[in-house]
Amino acid sequence: MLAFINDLGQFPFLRMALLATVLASIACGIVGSYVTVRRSTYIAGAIAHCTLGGMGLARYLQVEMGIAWATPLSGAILAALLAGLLISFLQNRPNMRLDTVLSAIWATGMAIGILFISQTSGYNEDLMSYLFGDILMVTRTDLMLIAGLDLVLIAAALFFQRELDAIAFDEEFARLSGLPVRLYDTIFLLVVALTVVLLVQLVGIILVVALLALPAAAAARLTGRLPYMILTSVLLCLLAGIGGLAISYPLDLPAGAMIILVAGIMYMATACIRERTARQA
Amino acid sequence: MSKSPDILLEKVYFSYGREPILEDVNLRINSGEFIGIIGPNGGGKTTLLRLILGLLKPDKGKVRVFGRPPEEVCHLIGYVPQHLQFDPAFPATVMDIVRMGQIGKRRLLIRGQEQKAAEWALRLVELEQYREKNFASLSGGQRQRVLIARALAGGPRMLLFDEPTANVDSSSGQQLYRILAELNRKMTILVVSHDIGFVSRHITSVVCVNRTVVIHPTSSLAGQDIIDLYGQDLSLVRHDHRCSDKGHSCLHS
Repeated sequence: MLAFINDLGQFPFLRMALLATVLASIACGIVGSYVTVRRSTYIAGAIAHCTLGGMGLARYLQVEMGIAWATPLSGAILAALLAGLLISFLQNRPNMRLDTVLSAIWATGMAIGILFISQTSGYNEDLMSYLFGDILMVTRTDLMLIAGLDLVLIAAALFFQRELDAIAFDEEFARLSGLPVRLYDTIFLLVVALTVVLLVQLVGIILVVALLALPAAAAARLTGRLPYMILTSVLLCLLAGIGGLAISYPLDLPAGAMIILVAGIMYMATACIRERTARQA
Repeated sequence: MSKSPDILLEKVYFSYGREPILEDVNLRINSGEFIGIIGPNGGGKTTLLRLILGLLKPDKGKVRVFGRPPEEVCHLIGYVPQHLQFDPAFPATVMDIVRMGQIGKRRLLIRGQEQKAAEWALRLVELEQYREKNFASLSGGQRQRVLIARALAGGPRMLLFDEPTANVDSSSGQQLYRILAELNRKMTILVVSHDIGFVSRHITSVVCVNRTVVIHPTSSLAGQDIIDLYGQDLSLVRHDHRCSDKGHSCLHS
């Protein structure tokens, strides 16, 4: 722990990682809370996994075809937005099973990614960093993007809070009240897609759902209103992020996995707290 | 010309794919009525409700609410859905939920009035002492009354109610209908139910839905009709009985 604080003053990459954690916590807490109350963590999972297709394709184009602008990040953003639009288009069709659609997007995206990565030199490192992320490798561009997303999310949460809450609680009633629910839903999915992509850079494809869902679920147990849940969720994300980083760094363990482990422990701890207070009441 | 009715359906047909759900439905509901919509599961009650709300479009025929197409006036309808469909752990207070009835209606209510309207609605459903309680901590009957308050908070001209007595104990059910009878002095009320026994003391007409729609003034509807309606054969429905003061019991199989 001391070594962590010590090195923080010494190494810019560590300060960048810390800043990334703070910025990501804001996005994660806001989006994670809405994803959780809307019960759409599986949607976030599908989008996260299909970004592998975008990253794999982009990396292939970059390394093998020499197309410089095809960075894995731009590929991931494209794949995530595409998946978001596809889900928003398909989820309102009658006779469409959403879980089947999500599984298809989930698996097809990964398959495309694996095929392209297999044809790209440097196969293993790429795949590992996409799947599990590397917060210590975060770039200035990543930070700027996450900060921008945070601003948009904070503004949206402040100005459209009542509408977002009402749609999350009862979509049909919101539609009858005259809200353009479809439009809100599509924008929501695109925002989830962007958030997922940026979080994937930090903790990787496999762990991103946990980072969205676990702090929000723990926060839901501790609070009774959505605005408080969001704030608590941001705080818990922050705690898990910094805690995970500080524990993993001196032990040279993967930071993303440690962050999720801390989040998981917090989630279980709130379950115990809830259980005890329920028994005392 | 008389004043246009609150709800008017003319020769309405609706089907899901090839399966006809409603055929040649003609319905006229005047302002101030208290209507019970009954019928067997799969008979088309919910479809009828969704047509009136404008959530579904008829294959043929005309649906008018307050003389307009329903999607133009659905914000004037206070819709109370079945309370079982909600996430019981949704993080919101009673007041938060009631205020959700006022979104998208800012043209109708000036800001300062919103809070007052919400408090009035909560008083009406006898829940004002629960305003800061979590929605999750309420009983089924209380949650349902919160949903009524949400519908009322938007200042509706009509109340549409889906299966109010589903999973509510009978004393809550009675309280519910006392509140509805009170509200009926000010607005038209439609209640969809498979359990008409509760309603009958207050309702002015019963609408029986099973592929087609038949309207009975309450005085001409007998318990036997309802039992028959729920039986296998629609042609068995009889319309010549008197109803008793205690209302109809529904031996729902």
